Amino acid sequence: MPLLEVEAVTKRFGGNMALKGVSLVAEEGESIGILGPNGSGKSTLFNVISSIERPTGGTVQFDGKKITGMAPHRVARLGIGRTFQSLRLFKDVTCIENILIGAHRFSEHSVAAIVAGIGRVRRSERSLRDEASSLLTRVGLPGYEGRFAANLSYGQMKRLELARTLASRPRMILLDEPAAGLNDTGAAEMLGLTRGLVRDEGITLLVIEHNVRALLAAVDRAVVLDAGAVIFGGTPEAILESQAVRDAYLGDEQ
Amino acid sequence: MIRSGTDIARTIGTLRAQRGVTPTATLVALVAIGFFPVLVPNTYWTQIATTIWLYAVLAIGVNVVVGYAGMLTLGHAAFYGFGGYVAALLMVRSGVTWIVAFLAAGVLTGILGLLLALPCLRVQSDFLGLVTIAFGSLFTVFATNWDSITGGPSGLAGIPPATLGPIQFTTNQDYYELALSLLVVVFIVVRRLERSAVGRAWSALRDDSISASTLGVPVLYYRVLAFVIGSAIAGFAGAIYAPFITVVSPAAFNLNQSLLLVEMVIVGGLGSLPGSILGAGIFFLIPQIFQSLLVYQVGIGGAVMVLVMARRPQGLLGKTAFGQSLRGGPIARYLATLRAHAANPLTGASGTPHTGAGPHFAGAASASRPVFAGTASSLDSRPLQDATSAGVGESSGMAQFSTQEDIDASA
Repeated sequence: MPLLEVEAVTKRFGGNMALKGVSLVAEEGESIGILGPNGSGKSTLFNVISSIERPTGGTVQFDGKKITGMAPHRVARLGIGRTFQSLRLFKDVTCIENILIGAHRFSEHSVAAIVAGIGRVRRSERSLRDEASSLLTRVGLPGYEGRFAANLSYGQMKRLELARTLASRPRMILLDEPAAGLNDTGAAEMLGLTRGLVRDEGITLLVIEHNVRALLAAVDRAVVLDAGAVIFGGTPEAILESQAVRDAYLGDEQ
Repeated sequence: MIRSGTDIARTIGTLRAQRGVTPTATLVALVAIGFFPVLVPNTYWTQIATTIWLYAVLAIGVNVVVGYAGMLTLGHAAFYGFGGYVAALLMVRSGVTWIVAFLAAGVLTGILGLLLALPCLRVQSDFLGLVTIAFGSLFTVFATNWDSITGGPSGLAGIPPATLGPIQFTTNQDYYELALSLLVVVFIVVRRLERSAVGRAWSALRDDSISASTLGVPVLYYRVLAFVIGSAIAGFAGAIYAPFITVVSPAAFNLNQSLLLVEMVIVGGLGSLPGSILGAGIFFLIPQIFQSLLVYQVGIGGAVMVLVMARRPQGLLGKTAFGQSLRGGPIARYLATLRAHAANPLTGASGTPHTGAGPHFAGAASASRPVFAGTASSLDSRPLQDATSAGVGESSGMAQFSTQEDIDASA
């Protein structure tokens, strides 16, 4: 049974069909790239899968459970994590707190226990902080615990957002343009880092990325969206050779 | 005048930066404060101080809602009143002992808060501000007109003194100690929550509720929780107020009191517990110094708030600016715009600090002003609270929106 099954999902915003019957299957442990020009519906697809937006039609199943219409925090608890195209870090708080918020459901959050100040709360905090610190190190931000998220460089913010998502221990991660705004070296580094972390943990990966070269180097296969529909799917090599993909990106010459 | 105000704010900021107030020092200070009515045996000042402690408790309750969870409550005095009436009714009509009335007042007020918040927050959190105003007015109307229960405009009188086992609370000194004890307990409870996963969840949903929900934080639950805690705290305070004053009447819990509470929290600093106490102190001590101005308390409070906001938008002891904390809704945008206009709108152009902010901002900003959206601006933008926490002066970068264009784009 595949981990993720997107079936004939449509999404309408007023008169605009952002998704026109998109179907997609991801097996556990797979890395899938999602390509497509601006406005082709890639981010909308992610919003539907993470349940921030409800699809107009179609269903999404995760691990055999229908998640369409489920509250986003429940979907997250089932094991779907994501990052955002336009970085959505918690800027009022420090790096380590950003990660701890990602680990929220593993923390001791019973109001009674916290108010009573029992030892379990302190122990849970301590072990989570240790884990959060080691996550920071793994994404290349060692010693950044007390830094405020808003004071990081752009590339560092991207890493922190990835670490925050990993802290929620997802089985699948949706990465929305992890390399956007980075140069070719930075993009390759970021995708390489992601790929490594994800492979270590056996996490399934869906990546939207405009840097085609960096993306295809990091995924097992890719699908191409255009105007809200899947126009092509296959291995990185097949994608590069496909005429349909060229047309979608560069415009039909005829 | 303003210069010295800034200096005071800076001094307080410096004091704040020097952390590590030892438990011993805290205890010594607390004992000293506890002995105040013995050292200064003046009934009048003891009564003022007791009122300050009660309002400090209320302000902490408001702070949980406004400062921590980033919602607006404009009817909090009604919860105070509700707690007061519940305690008074139980003690006068049913002859219940005070401690039972006290616990019942807190619990019932919390439940009332739940009933009020749940439907609003399911829809949209901005709604809560409006509903709490309506609730505050409704409470006054009921308290004034439902004579058979509430005693009408003149209120419920003859409330017996509070008792705790053999101890009977009769003098102002007694209530001073009782109110101070409640403040200490509430302070500790809220402090523990603030520094736990609950506090982190609050700051996450205040900052970006969508992002928080995709990380598995149940946003609705934590919003409702903040409101219930805030209401229950007010209910407990009301149950001390009732036997302290011996009368509960509608006028003591009207819209003015609610606004005063929000002003206290903003001046003291959103998300700062010592700030809430300081705010309550300021708002009751200033009118004492200028007795003749007492009737203008709320108006003067507003002026003080505007002054503080202009010089130090995060409040005297706070670290989060108002527009920042309440962003994402129409009220937030209105306040942010006001504040940005109040601060000099023509200087400084470091780009929008709201890259990747709430859905309302992100869309509007990128659609109409592509120059300010996107990735480049997030590189050099330094949101206010970080500048100040890094030790940069508070008077330099007060506007969340640095330019006129930013304001237009987001308004």
